[in-house]
Amino acid sequence: MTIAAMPRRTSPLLRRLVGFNLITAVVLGAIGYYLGWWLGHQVSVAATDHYADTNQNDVALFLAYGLAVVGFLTGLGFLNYPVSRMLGRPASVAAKDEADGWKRYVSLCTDHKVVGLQYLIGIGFFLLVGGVNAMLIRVELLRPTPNIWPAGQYLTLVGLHGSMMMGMMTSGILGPFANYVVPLMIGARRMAFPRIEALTFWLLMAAGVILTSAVFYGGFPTGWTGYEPLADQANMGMDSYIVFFALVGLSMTLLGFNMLATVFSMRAPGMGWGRLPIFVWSVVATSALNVLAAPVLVTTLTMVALDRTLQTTFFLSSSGGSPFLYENLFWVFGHPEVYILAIPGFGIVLELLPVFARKPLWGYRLAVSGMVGVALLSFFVWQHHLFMSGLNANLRPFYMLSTELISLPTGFTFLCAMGTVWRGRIRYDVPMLFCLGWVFNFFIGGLSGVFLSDVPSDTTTHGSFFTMAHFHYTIMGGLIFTFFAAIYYWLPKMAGVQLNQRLGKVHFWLMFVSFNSTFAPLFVIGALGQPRRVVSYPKDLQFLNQWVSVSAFVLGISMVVFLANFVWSLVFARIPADPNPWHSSSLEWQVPTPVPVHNFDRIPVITAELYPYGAETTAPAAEPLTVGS
Amino acid sequence: MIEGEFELAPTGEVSLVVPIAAHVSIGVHERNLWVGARMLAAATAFLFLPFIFGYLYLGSLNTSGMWRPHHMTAPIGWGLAIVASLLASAGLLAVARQALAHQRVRGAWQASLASLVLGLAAVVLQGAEFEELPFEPTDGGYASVFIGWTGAFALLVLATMVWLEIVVAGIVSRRATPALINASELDAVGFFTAFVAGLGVVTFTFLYLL
Amino acid sequence: MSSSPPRHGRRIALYTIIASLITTPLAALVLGPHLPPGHGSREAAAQVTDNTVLTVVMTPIACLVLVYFAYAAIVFRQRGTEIEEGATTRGHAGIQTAWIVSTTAIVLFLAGYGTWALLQTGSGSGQGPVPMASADGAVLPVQVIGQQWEFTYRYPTYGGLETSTLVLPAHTQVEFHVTSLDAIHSFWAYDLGVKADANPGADNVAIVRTGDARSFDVRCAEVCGLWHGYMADTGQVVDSASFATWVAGQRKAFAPIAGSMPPYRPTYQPDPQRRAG
Repeated sequence: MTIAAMPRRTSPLLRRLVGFNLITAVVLGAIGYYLGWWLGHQVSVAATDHYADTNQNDVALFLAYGLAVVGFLTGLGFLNYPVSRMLGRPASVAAKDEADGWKRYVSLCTDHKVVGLQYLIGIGFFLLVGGVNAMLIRVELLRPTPNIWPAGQYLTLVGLHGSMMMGMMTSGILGPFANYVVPLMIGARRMAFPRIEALTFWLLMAAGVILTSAVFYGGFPTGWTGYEPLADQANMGMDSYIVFFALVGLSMTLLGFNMLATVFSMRAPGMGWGRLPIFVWSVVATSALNVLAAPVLVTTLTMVALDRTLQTTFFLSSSGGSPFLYENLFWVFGHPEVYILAIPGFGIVLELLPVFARKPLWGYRLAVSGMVGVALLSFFVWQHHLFMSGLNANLRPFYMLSTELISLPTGFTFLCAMGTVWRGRIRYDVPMLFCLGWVFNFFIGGLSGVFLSDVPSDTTTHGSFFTMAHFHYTIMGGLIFTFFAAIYYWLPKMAGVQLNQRLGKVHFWLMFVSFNSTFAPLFVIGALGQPRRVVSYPKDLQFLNQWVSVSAFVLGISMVVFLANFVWSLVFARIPADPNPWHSSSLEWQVPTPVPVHNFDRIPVITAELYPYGAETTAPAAEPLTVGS
Repeated sequence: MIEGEFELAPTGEVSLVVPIAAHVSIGVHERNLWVGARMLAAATAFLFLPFIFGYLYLGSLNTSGMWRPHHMTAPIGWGLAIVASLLASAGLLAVARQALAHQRVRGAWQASLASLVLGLAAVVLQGAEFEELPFEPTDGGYASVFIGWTGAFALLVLATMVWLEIVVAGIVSRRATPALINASELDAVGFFTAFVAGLGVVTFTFLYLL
Repeated sequence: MSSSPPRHGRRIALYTIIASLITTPLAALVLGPHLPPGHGSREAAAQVTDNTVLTVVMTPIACLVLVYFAYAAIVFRQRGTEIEEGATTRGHAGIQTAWIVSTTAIVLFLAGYGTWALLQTGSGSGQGPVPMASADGAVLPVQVIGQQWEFTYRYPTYGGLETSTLVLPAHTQVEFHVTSLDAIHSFWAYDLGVKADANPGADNVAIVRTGDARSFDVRCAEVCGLWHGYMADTGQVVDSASFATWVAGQRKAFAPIAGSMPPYRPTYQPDPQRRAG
């Protein structure tokens, strides 16, 4: 029995609203929230004697968040399939009717292309929220003394900005772009686990809302790292951070799980490992990190939650625990995580350079081994975050070596980029500009990383604005620049319309110049002794800080330029895009726009080498390509 | 490895409301389950790694002499009962897989149902043990690790049993038409249950024996 | 483009060498003395040298990559709107091997040099309870206690004297023992090139040799809660006579409360620690 078999009839408004959709999800989420809150008070008022003194009930908030997420997912319809299977009914789920096209975007949809666009909008929204937080931070730092935000609110802003960016943006490339293009690139009709794919998106959205709700519970003082035992003292906003990051960890794990399964078992005939597009390889390396590192985060945060609710003592040194346990576990996750942010950027750059330089990718095997090497090594460097902590100080030479070794596989990516542009015919379309922006920014980020990896130098730079500038060069300069490269590159396929190229170039140059003008002086500020996350700083650093703030506002304006372009091109101008505007040979550009629901009428058979650019070869990558009949 | 296992989907217009499963050849579905179960095991191993690390780390630090004051121990009888029922559950599932492989559907669903009951029994036993524990969460490092680890493990067993229930329900409802039964589902959940039982042995070794 | 291919490589090499010859001495001689910590502080001269070495090693690499991309971006650009194909090169075993070998050599040199520099004095970094690089000769132990939101200092060799200002004698090996009473702090004596985390229940040793009399900035470098941004201090290095006078004055002021202070220990465990509810 399928939906299509039922007679269609126009139903009154109420009937349209009731059902498994976003409205139901929000309503059930709210009900779950209040139910959990009430339940928590029933349970814990009797159990904890000090509740009356502090008016702080973490048990209630955890239960509220937990049941809210359950209610939200139930309302979206995530329980329908498992419950029906538990009752022994057959495993069939009907795809949503395309006639209600826009509705698919606000409900549980298992089409990887819909999920990709959902991710783009959802992640883009939270990227904006995190960016506004950054603007507010820079407003505060215009003056060396408190300016507009009290100390506590300032710390919360810092924590919200950091957590939003480091949490949500872990899926910044994998969510929108890998979900959309990986099945197309490997010649598959769908993902291996489409329901799990949809779940990762909605979990992430719930997480974003929960993190933002920290402001209603007094915020949290720890920054994005959530160090113990500060996290143990903190007020209830800390619980928002914990639930947020645990959900992000869950979403990341499932996202990587689904990607890996898809690439393992759904490649088209002839798409061997040696023929995978380099972007897919970067997705594979990242997904492996997702699957292995993110669970560590989930468990670590569970321990923090237990310390705050059941009063266990994992991280209390006065009662058999240790804050070092948290620092270790957090960075066992945290260092692979920063490569989860970086590796997809490598993939995008190496995927796009051949298209815009009209050359085959130079050194394919080297590029692959670079990504895999970075992923492997990233599990063995975490204690460089703890060089000054006094933890395992005698192991520091090892971590210094392993950290600096990571620059080898990272260097492979640079060499491949250099080889690929060599004697090319470079076209400066907007995606290419952002890729070259990545080259410059990530190079600066990498060089500054050498200072941080070297213990004697790290004595000054650790925990200072120098560190902050370093990871903004690698993450904002790396991930966000490639994020925009990917938007300008793939949006013509994803949305079927072309973004305005002139505005795109304005966006790029404004962003590139103001980005460097913002973060380059931060190296100096850090080297001059300004620690991270301070609301007040020495007076003689005011000029530099004001320079940075003004540059940051220009950086904010560049985002407004992008948003204006995005909204104008998508909503008002709607100039239909060429099916293959960049003359790419990759599979995702060979299907028609809009992409049919099941991608390919026939699964393509891959017969030729990848990246068939260059003067001597012009054969397409797949033969015969019978798509889009 | 790839060639040959892909089947070209039916040509002609693609109906939007056809169940997605119909577009995917059985080979792909089976391989997804096979790969998925193994990756799930890898992720789960890393999910429990912090507890193992915490056990060894806090035990070696023994801050304020509060790792294991008075050398507190968990009641080993409960621990044995839990790990035994898990091992039996995994063993019965192996029997069920064998039965299904030899087309003995009746034996398959009976063994897997018994496996489900034993797995759920492990969860109930864990709940009962919490009532009987001779220490509180506040009693130091070992107590914290014990409660965090066993609690998370009980949730893992419960989740595994939900998956197993789905598979068992599928077999029971199709026992009249064995051709429709997908053996790869039972294989996947069987592999994962065996992994969970192995993790149970590790848990038991650390928390009760060491 | 009709120029013969090898010329590009030669030109890039030439430009790189010229750029390196200009910038590397500048980095070493002009920038070097201003590198952190502390505007090239004498107390942390070894760290300034270390930073200079890193900068000098990386300058030619930066020249190579930036010159390469600038050259490529200009010379290999597409003129006109026609889509032309580039050269069909898919790799070059020799270049790849050379790249791997040279970057490996640089990395091994940097790691070796960093380890050597670290082992000399510990580079002012927190070295845990048992320092790998320990001070030779006489040392003055000073305990730094971080608590929300100030640092206090104890001098175990002067009867466990506790003060709220940090005063050190000139030309002395100082062994900081850093610990905390609550959250994690980080003791950062910027101009001395000292940074060590203050962990509750743990002792963290950092060593520095003071120079002439001067003042120096102290800040907390690990977020520790509400007033983290204000956890700053100014320390003094004074000549030994002034230090003796200062200690005597402080001991007099400390005497009435000495009995109610906990005895000097590497770590302290205030009980109960504040918990969330």
